[in-house]
Amino acid sequence: MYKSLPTLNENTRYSLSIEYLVVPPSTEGVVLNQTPLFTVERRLRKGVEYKEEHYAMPIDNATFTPSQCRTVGQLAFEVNYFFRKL
Amino acid sequence: MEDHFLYANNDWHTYGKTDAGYAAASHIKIIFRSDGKLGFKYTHVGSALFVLHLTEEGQRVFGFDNRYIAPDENSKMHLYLDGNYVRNDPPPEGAESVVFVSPNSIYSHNEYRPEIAIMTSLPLIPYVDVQESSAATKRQLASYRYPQNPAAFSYRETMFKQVIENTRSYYHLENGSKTHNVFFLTGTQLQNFHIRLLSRKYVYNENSKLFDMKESPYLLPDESLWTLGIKLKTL
Repeated sequence: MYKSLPTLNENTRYSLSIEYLVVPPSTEGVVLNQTPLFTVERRLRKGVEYKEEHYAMPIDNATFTPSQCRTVGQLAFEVNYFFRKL
Repeated sequence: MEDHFLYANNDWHTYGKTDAGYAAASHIKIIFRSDGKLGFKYTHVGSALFVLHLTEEGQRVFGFDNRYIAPDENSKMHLYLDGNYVRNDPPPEGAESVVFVSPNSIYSHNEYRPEIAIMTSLPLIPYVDVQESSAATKRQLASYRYPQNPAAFSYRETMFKQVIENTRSYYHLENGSKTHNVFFLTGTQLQNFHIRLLSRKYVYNENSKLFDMKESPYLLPDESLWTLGIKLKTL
């Protein structure tokens, strides 16, 4: 804290106003970050039983979870980047 | 081997490396419309190889009733899974790409009217906050509408849309002493006080069908600081 005035006097009236305020953007996003939104699965034929051994993708992480989204545009970019990496 | 897939005995990745697979720049992609809606675009290859299984949060964010985004034989999004069995085949070979657009705009469906508020323990003139079913007095130095950075859209050729988003590393919310936030206090009251920076927003409540006001500490990025300048003038 920087003081440009001497210590305040008791029983003296002052006017207080905000002269400036500078804040960094919040890290909160439009879309809830770190919450999985969807999983990519293999498409099965009509009539096939839905089993994990059939539909699971042979890759480590087929679930999309947004991580740094503050805007819808950033969400779209992250989803397309995820698809391209499949 | 049992024939589970449309391209039997061909791994999904193998098919993607065929001429048909290469012909599609991306099998599935998301499309951002200027009204804030997102669309999932499936090429014929993409719809034959993949389905998207939405989580509950995914259904809420994108606004789809169906748990699966999977085009059927008529390129519509109907029930993919019936009980424990798959109900539909993908569109036939040669079908055009299909886009499923989310019913909701997701610009602000999570929160509404975000504000930055500076609260204090100083005995200010109370600020009365009235909500639908409650009211409270608060000691608020100031509140500011959270700055928005609208995206700019333009078209490059017919098919390609360009989106430009500008971001700033700091928001300058107040600059000057001629402000409406002026309070009168005595030196005794100013001996010891606290200040809190809060994030205030209105979050939709599914039960009451109304927006509830939520206040929480303003989340700052790591290793960042905020600056508040206060002017005191003797009367």
